[in-house]
Amino acid sequence: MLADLESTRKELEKEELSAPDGVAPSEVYSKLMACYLLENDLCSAKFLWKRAPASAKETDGPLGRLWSVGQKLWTKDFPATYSVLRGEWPDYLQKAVSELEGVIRERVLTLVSRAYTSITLTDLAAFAGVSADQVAAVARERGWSVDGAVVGPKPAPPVIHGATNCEKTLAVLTQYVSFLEN
Amino acid sequence: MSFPLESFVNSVKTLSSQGNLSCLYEFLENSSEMLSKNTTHLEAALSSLELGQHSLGILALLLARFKAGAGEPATLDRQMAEFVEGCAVDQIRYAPDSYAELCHLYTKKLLERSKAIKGLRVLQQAIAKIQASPNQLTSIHADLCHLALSAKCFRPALDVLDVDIADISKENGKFESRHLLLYYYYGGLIYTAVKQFERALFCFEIYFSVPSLSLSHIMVEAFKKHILLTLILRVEAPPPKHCYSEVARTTMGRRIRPFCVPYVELATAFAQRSPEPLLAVVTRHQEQFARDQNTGLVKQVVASHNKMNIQRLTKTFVTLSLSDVASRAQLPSAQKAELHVLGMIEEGEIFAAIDQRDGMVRFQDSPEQYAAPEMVARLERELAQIMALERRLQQLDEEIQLEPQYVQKATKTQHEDDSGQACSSSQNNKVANNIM
Repeated sequence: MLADLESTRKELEKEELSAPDGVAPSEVYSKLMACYLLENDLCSAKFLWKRAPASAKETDGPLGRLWSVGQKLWTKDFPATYSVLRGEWPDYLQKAVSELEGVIRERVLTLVSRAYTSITLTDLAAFAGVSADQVAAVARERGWSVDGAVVGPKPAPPVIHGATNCEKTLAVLTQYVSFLEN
Repeated sequence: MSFPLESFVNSVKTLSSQGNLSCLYEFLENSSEMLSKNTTHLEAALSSLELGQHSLGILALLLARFKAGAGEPATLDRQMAEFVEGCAVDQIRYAPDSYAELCHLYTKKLLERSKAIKGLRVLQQAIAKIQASPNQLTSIHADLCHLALSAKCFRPALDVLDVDIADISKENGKFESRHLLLYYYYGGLIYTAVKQFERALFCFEIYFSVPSLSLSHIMVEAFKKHILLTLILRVEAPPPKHCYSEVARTTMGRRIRPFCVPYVELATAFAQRSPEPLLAVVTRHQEQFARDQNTGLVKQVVASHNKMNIQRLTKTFVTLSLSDVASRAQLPSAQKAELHVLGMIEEGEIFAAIDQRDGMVRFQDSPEQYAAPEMVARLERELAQIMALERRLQQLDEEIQLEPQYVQKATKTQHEDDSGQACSSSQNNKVANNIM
C-alpha cells in the first residue's frame, strides 16, 4: 500500500468529492483517514474528521478510532497510540493499520536517534510500543549500545548517494550561465 | 413553450450555426429580461438546445433559472455539473461575465443548503475551462476557496492556490477588486488551516501591496491575521519596501491600527520574555478574539512564545539541565520541557540532544552542510522559479514598450527634450509610472 500511497489517496479523495449528494460510503472516509495518517498529514486528518458525515462517525467505529490515533500522535502520546492501534479492525483496514504501526514506530525511532544521546529502556519501550523485555533487542538491532537500563541511540548513518548524472548537471549549469550572461 | 422563448431558441440556433458569437452574446445580454419573465418555460427551452453547439444559449437559460431560483435544487446541481463538463470553451469565452455570475450563484445556492462539498469538483473544472492560462485569476477562484472553507476540504482549493497568479481575467469589465481581495483572504485562511504559515503570510501580505484608496473590512481582518501569523512564525513584519508605496503603508497602518488594538497589544506583550503579560492580554481580550474567530490562532501564538523562549536558550547555553529549561522557559515541569524540546527537534526548530542519564540537554549548531543532493535539488528548483519570473518580467516589459499610449507619451517627452525645453529624467520616470 505504501508504494502507491499517493495514488490511492488521490483516488479516495476523488471518490469522496464525486459521491452523490456529498456523502460517500463510510469505508471511503476510514481508508482516507488511514492514508493521511500513513503520510503523517495530521492537519488533513483533522479536517477529514470534521467534515465526515454523521453516518461515518458511529460510536467506536473505525473512523473515530483512527482519528483518536491521530489525536494521540498530535499530542505525542505514543503508548496510547499503539494501544488504540492494537484493537480489532475491520478486514479492509487490517493491512493499513499494521503498516501504520510500523511506520509510526520507524518515525519515532528516527526521532529518538536524532534527539537523544541516552534514553532509559522504559521510555524507549513506551516510544517504540514494544514490551520491556523486547526493547533491548530492538535497540541492539539498530546498533545502539545498551548499558544497563540506559540505551545510547546513534543517528542513522547518512545515506550514500549514487553518482550524479554529469551530462545532466552540465546542461543545467549551461542554462544558468547563459541566463546570467544575458 | 411560449412565443418569445420559441423565437429566442430559434435565434440562438441560427446565430450559433452562423458562428456569429459576438452578435449572439449581445443578443443574450438583451434578452435576459425576457428570460426572467418566462421562468416557467425555461426547462422546455433548455431541452431543445444542444450543449456542445449552443453553450452560450444554455448559459443564458441556466443563469435565468438560477436567478429565479426555479426548479429542484438537485436538478439545478445536475444541470450545472453537466454544463461545466460539456460546454464549448470557444463559446463561453465570449461571455466570461455571465459564466462567472452563474458560478457565483451556484456557490451561493450550495452554501445556503450547506452542500459545499458537492461544488468543489464542478468549480475546479469551471476554472480550468475559462482560464486562458493556469496563472490567470478569475472571480470564480474566490468561490472555490469559499466552498472549500465551508466544506473543510482544502485539497481542490490548494491545487489552485499553489499556482502563482500572474494575470487577471477582465471578464468583460465585471471583475471587481472584491474578488481579488476575497481570493487572497480565503486563500490565507486555507493555508493557515493546513499550517502552511509562510504561504498564508504571503496571501495576507498582498493587502500591503495592492494599490487602494479606501479601507475595506477584508483588509482589517487580514491585517489582524497577519499580526497573529508573524507572531506564530516569529518573523518581523514586512519592511516598508515590500509595500506598494511608503505612503500607502503608513496611511494604511495608521488607519487600520485603531481597529486592531488588541492585536497590537498582543504583539507588544509577545516581545517580552515573561509569558505573564502575554497571557494577561489574551484573557483581557478573550471576547474580541473569539468574536473575530481567532481564538485558535491566539493559542498558537502562546505556544509560539514558549518555543521562542526555548530557542533563546540555545543562543546562550551549550548544555542545560531539563529542570533549568523548564524554569527559564517558565514551563510547569521537566517532563513538559522534555516534550517541548523533543517537538522542536522534530520540527527542526532547534538542534539539540537530550541525555536522559544526567537529565541534560546539549544544544548544537545546525548540522546542515549544504552539500547534500537535496540542497542541490532545492537550489535548482528555486533557480528555475526565478528564471521563469525573470522571463515573465521581460515579457511584461516588452508589452509595455509596445503599448501605443506609452510610445506616444515617451516620444512626446523626447520631442520636448529636443526642442530645448528642460525635462528632467524624474519627469520621464513619472510618465512611466503613470502608465504602469
